[in-house]
Amino acid sequence: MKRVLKFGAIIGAAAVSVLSVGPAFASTNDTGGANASASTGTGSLFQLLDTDACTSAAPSGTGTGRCGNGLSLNNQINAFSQNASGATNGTSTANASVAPIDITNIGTSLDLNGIIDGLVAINTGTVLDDVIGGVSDSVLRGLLQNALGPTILNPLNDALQTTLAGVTDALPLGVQIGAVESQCTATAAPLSATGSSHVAGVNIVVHLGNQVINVPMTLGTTPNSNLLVGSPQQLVNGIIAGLEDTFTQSLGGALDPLNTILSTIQQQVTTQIFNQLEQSLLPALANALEPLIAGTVNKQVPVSPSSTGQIEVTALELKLLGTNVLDLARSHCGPNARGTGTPAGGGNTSNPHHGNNPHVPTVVDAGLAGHQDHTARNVLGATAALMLLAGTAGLLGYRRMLNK
Amino acid sequence: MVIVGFVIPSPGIAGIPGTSTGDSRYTALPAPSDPELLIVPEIGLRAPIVPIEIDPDGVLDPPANVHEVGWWQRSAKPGSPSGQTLVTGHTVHTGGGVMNELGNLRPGALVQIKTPLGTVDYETTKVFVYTKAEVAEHKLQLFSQRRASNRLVLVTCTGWTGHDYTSNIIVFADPLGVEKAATGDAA
Repeated sequence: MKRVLKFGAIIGAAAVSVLSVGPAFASTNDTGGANASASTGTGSLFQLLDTDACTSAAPSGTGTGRCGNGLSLNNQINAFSQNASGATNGTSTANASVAPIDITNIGTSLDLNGIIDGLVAINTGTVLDDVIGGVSDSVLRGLLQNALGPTILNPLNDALQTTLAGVTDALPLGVQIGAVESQCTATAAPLSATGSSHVAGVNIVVHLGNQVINVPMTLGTTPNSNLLVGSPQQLVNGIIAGLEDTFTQSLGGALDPLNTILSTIQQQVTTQIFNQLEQSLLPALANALEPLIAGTVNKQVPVSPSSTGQIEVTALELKLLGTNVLDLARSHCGPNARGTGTPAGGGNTSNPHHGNNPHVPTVVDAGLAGHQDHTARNVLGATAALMLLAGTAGLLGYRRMLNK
Repeated sequence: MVIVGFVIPSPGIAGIPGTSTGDSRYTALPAPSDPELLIVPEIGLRAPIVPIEIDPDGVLDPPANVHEVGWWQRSAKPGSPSGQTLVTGHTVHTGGGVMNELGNLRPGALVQIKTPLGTVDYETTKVFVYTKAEVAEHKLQLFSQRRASNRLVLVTCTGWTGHDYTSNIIVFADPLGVEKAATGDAA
């Protein structure tokens, strides 16, 4: 009985060994894999936003590193996921996602002083002319221009200059990034890789006094779209409202002694001044924000579908101040190849990548005995030498003939 | 032809460092990019890179033009986080081969590959010789794309017997990245 048990134990152990070695042997020569990273940051602003990566590789095909869903990063990123699997049997997949992130202070600010300085050229006199020009009675119009113009213009000019000079605040900036995600799949046969991504939205956040103004950025839908600052109308509206308050306060009771006609004209002039300001402010603010924030949405290298068998998709590549780069939701798949002699799937043991080409070189034949160019140069050199020799002989013969 | 002075590793080459230095002067290439030009200042090598492919017998031939080098087009592109970037060029016994001086390279030497997205700097880590048989034996370690971190592998021939070459000079180099001031340059 004891002998039977011992034999059974040996058989059992052997069976376990065979079973455990078997799967590894089956895909030993497969190559490829995938990896995913929810967030990779470089530069002083983003260097802490690094979630590492989840990587899988044949033959095991199991993701290793930091893998899974519902992960978090030291209060920097509340929730993210990164998963990778394959390339067992020639297929690999990866996905990554990041929950919305608020970067409350990007370490720079929007200097309104520099922007407003360029707008001081607004001519209140011209504005007043336009307003008074609407008065139909020519006598009254003349009176207003000659007598009342300075009365209105002086306090308006003073108030405008005071308002513009007073805007010296540098407005703190932040960035709000909505949920982002990406995924990819690569296969060895057929040799292909596909991927896609989604970004819920990106806002620049401007703190203007007690107001928090969101400036939505334009997100393209096609692969490798640039992240663009759209028309920051909401920001302009906020700034104009703030300026108007200051302007009204600066104007104070300057026109109080005057009658209602002049009060009406003052209101019209004020409205026109701020209309002009708004038109100038819109492109000026867009231009000021542009160098602060840039990026690529749905970055795909190469663009899906990929015939090279590999692809890398990054949902959002955000660049702040040029040197701080944040890659969010990056998934990389392939290239994968089935190993020669891999029994899984049977039949075709050739490399599917390039016809019957092996999947790695076995010989690098990088030596030559001689260089054909040398031979060609030698022939040319010899020909030139012969022609020179023949020419010299000809000249000598000709001179000898002349001497005779 | 120089065939002395190489660091000859043991046949097992596992454990060779493959990660970048993390030097703050460098940044990553924005994305993997096709190699265009190989520059190795220490040996005066500057050669256009053209894509090449293995033949059905597993032989990788460099470009016929001995002034060019070949990048195995299924190997990792510069800037890839993983895999190995394989570049090979001819040694010519009578002189004039683009990689005739490869064996003079020393660990620590700078190697550069220019791409449309920037020039990636590498630091030479190993220079050694394998016989053709050893190359075949260690083909996966030398050329497989399963490597977790990217490495540049330069290969040429050596060991001229009078009628053929018996061995390969192999150079490993680890990526440092794109020098920050040189991003998007045209080295």
